[in-house]
Amino acid sequence: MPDTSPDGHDEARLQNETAKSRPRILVVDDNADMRQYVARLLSERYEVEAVADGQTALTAVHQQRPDLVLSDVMLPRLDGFGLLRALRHDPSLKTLPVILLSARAGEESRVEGLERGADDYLIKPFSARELSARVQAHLDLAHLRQESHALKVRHISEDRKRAEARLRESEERWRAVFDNSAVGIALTDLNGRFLATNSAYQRMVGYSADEFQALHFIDITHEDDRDRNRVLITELIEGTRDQFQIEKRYWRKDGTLIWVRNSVSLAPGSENMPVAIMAIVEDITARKRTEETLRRTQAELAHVTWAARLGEMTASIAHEVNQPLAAVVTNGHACVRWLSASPPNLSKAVEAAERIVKDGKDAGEVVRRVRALFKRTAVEKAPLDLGAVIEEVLRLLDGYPARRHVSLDLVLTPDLPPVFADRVQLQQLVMNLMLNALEALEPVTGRPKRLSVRATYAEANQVLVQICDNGIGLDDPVAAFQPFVTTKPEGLGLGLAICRSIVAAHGGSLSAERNTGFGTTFTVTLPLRPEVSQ
Amino acid sequence: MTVDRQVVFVVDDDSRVREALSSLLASAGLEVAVFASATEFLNADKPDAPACLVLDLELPDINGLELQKELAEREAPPIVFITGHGDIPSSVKAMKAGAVEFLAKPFGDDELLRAIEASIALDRAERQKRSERASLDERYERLTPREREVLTFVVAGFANKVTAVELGTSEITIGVHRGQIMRKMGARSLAELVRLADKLGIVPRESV
Repeated sequence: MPDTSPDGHDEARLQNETAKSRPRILVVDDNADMRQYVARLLSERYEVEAVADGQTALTAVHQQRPDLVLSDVMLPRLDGFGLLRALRHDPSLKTLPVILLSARAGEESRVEGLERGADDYLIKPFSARELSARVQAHLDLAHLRQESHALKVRHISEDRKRAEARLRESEERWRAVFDNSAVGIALTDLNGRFLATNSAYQRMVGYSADEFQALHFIDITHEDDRDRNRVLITELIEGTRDQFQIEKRYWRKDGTLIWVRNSVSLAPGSENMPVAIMAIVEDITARKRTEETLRRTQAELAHVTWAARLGEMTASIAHEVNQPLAAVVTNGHACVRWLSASPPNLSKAVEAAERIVKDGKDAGEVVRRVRALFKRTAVEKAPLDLGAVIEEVLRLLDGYPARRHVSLDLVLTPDLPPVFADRVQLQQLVMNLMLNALEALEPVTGRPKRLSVRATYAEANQVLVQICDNGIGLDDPVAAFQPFVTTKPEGLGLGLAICRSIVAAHGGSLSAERNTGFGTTFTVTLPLRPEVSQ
Repeated sequence: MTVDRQVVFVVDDDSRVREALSSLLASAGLEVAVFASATEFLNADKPDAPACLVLDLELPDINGLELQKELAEREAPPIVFITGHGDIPSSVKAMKAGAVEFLAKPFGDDELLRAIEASIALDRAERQKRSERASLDERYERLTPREREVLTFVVAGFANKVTAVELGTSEITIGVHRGQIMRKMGARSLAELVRLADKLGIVPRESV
């Protein structure tokens, strides 16, 4: 619509209305009388153009498309059928209504005309009324068809436009999410080769989008994390898991390491896209560093506290080492004397020398045990005989309880299954709890001081270690586990907090309970099998 | 070394120390008896001979200092303390309570043997003193009440005449008493009788 200006608007619409209200009819007939007759008949209501042959008609149609063609069958140069065929051949004229006029009587030609695509067929002679009725009917029909078509076309195009707009919008939205996401997003093919990476991911690992095209995710994964990662990917592809999370290390392009936490799943394929592996990647280097620092600090603190604890015990430890040393020196003197006697008593001298060897070994053994207790090594969990661990601690404490007039009762269930634990940590745990008990017994007067240690098998694949004293007891068995809560004026108050962290690290629990009579019972629960964890 | 019997008692809860000391003391020609605890020592039959007690300070049942206190009330041998701790307050306490020596483990054989010898010598003297005192007591027991009364005048230096007047008897009677006293007490002179009375703690009569 040539809506050129506001001024010309009405005029243009008027012309349009006029044109619309006066459809154009092309009349084709070689008979001049007939041609004029029909033209006159139709020109009352329509714009009429009349031509004498098929070829001219075709040219006229191409010059200006009429709304309907009324054509004689028998024509020079190009007959009605030929004209019809030519019109129907042109896609843009396919729907142009064509009415054939013929003098030829009989159903055959009528059918032939219709089969060739004529919209109607009028046999001469026809009445004026019949002619104008047919013409109008076909014009209306064509008009309707056109409108419906236009409507349909408009609908289809609008739907498509809307769909396209929605698609575009959605794509833009996802692209924006992908590009501006704070977390890294990476897509790889099923072999692990990068298909797409967002800018956060590129910044994280230090490669550009182009460089990623040539990389495999394994290339940037730390060697020690690769096997674990491969197994998970295989399980994902085989469908044994829907998705997985992995904490692993990436080698950045600059050669530095970062820690990441990846949530990985399969992105389903479509006709335009094959199945891909999608990873949402979070940089957890800072968190890992904090965790590591925290862990180190805790270990440090535990060690310092433990060392302080053992410091309190140095008198006992010194005594432990000193006893065999004293025996060594005394035996040495005896040996010299037996040899210096006249005559020398060799058998007595040999006995003394043999005792020197044995006592020397004893002293060395004490030193080894003490050193093992002081040693700070990485936690190494292995199957351990709990009874042996407890007996080792008792050997180290040796006369300590007895010298404090504490009678010690040890009950070990025979054939306890091994626990999965770190030897040094368990020794520290048992010794800490026993020293606590001994301290609680220290001020006791007027009743025999008792300390019992028992290791028993509990239900649900657990082993119980109970350390029970009849000492002065705890005011608040729950608060006692809090760091820096202490009953000792010079204590740090970390002993029980550390005991609990040791037990927790072994998947067990530690609790304290006031006894019905005097004192406290500490119960350690340890699982027989290691916890299933990565 | 003297020919008469002498014994060293060793009390230590550590068998290694007991064995080593047994051997060392035996090599020095000493008779040794070892005990693992204070109770064991207290309950044991001990030979009647000059002795020494080598005592560990830290014992499981009764600690060394307590045992020392308990033994002080009896006629017990002198104590040589041995200890693995050797803290000053304990050693001071031990020495004040009459210990002969306080040795920190490990100790040299000479210092131990010297201490043991000194202890045994001390014990021998103590035993001597005790037996002298016992015989003195026994002699005093034989005096009649009248003789004991006369004794207080004799040791105070009163003449028989004065004593006779004071006791309302004759000078001759007092002379007989005096002779009996000298004989029963085994005193060869007045000076010796005075010394013996002094040992017995007899208070001489004040001037009348």
